[in-house]
Amino acid sequence: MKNRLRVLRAEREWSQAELAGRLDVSRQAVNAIETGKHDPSLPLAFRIARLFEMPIEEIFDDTEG
Amino acid sequence: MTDAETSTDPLRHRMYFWLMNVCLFFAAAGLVDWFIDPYDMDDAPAWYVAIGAIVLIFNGFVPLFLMVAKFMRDDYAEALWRRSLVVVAYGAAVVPPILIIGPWLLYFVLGGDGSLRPEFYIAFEEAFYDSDVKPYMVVGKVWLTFMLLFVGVFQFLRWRDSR
Repeated sequence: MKNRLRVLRAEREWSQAELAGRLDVSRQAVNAIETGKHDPSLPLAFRIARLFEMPIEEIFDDTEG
Repeated sequence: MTDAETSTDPLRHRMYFWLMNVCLFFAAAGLVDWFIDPYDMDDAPAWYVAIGAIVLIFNGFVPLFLMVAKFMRDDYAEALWRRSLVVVAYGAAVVPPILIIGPWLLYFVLGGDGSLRPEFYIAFEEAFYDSDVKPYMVVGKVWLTFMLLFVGVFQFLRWRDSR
């Protein structure tokens, strides 16, 4: 699943470790989500959406291609 | 939560991956020792026994802890844990029958009279069918195998994701 996490993080000038701390996950989790290797669970997706104050569908894109 | 508190990822999540790395190191050390087999346990020096105990802790008990320590796993580690256990479950279902049936097939392929059986097969046959192994040893080795398999598969999936 594609997502805008890297862009949103860069806009706020946060490191991966800093974003990980705010989401209570490891830096590796942030990296895996950003590179599309890991689709976050629904609770984590909601935490991400709340942190960036955006709807989930504006951060994650489940459409093919 | 202050900025200072959120400046890095939580320690317990980092510790989970760090302990996994240590377990992988000791898994490799255990494998090397198994191949080299420098001492019999009956006449091994004290330092070798002491190191053996540490290797055993990181080959068996720490992976067991990591398997049940849900509080240390974050979203990604939980997904890796689940994917690893799926592979381990498939292994538990598939490997034992292969180990039992495979040698039978090989036996017939290599000739029932034994004329074509190579050295490695004869050594395997002796170890697998003829050795006197006590049940507690079998249980211990199977347990260690699954713990090491869990660590190996987890780390392999993590490495593949990082590429």
